[in-house]
Amino acid sequence: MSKGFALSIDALLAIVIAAILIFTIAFLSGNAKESQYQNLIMKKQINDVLIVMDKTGEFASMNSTLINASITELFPSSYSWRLKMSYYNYSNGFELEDGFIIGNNQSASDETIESHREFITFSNSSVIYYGTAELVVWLR
Amino acid sequence: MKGVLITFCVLLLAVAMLYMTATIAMYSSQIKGTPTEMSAFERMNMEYDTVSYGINRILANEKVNITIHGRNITFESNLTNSNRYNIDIGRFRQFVTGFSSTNLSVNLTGMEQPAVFLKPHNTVIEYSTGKINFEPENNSLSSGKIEGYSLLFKINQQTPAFNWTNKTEVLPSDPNSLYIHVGLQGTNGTVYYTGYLNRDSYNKLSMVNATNHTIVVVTIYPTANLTINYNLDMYLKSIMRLNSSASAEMSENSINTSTIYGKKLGKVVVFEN
Repeated sequence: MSKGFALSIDALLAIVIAAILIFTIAFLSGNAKESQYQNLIMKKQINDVLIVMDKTGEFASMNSTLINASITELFPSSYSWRLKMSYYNYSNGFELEDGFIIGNNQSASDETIESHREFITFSNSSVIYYGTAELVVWLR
Repeated sequence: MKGVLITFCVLLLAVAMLYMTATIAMYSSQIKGTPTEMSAFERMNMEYDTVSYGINRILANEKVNITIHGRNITFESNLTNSNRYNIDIGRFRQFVTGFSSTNLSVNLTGMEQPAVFLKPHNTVIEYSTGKINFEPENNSLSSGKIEGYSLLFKINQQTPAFNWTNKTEVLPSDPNSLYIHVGLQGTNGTVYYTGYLNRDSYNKLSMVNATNHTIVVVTIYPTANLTINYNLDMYLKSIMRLNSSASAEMSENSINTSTIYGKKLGKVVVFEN
């Protein structure tokens, strides 16, 4: 066998290895991109739901049935979600007055996306409650 | 010679491969990083919107509710000596910074004495203790855009008398005419004035009660600058008629939302047309 032939085999092998490396990186990169953007879309959807629920006054209603029905309607059926509502009043600091948790049960293996919004409720044109809504969403 | 050539080619190819690999790795890292950054911005925007909307609601419920219907801008207020508005603004700030899911800092500069700015008419409406000022910025463009004011007062006292100390009336067709309607409802009836005043002159209306005390003073300064001074609790509905539709926002960059991801400085949009 000539020396040139050995070198050619060597070069071919290097190219094959490099090509495998490149395709592996490209494949992993493609997967990472899809997953990250899916999470971002979910995050935007959660934020939109929280903003809508605040601005339509549903959080201020403190009505768990109404809130449950609205969120179920707003999210796609492929989503599971869990919402924790807390209502605080102010007397020498913020004190928890009322709250509830609605939605689906979540398992430890679920990969979740969450968001959070603070809001206020009024009675006779004065702030009566300061509230927080914590929404967690995951794919079924 | 052939071996050297092949070795050189292999070297070139290896360099090209390394370059491509490095480029792909960097691109991949950027792609992964972008959604993370966008997610952080989403969180910051959410906090900003929370603060802006909360302040807007406190302003509307406790200080002045502003609505715009075409060219008419309505300001409705229950004017009291209560400092409930300032207390609630302070507590709301304390609440959002304390209960936020992120490390949030909110600066509400100038919120204690709110000023509303009308666009594109360059007119500022300022609310301070015992005084409301509707002020077109000092140029001919802004003052000419106000066609008139309508003021409706409701007080829980005996109806006072109207006393004009300065008044320059003009015809409605006069190019300097400013439509003025002032109505007051007290416990024993109503009083009102409707007319056209010269927007470039000084006009002053005092409302004097049965014990000869002045309870409300409406002054119109050149040019079309209206000021209301009062020293009692009352309901006031003021309507400004403009020559075109407007948007209303807080006049200062009063919200400074700062998180670990960045800062967002902005105004409270009161009413967008």
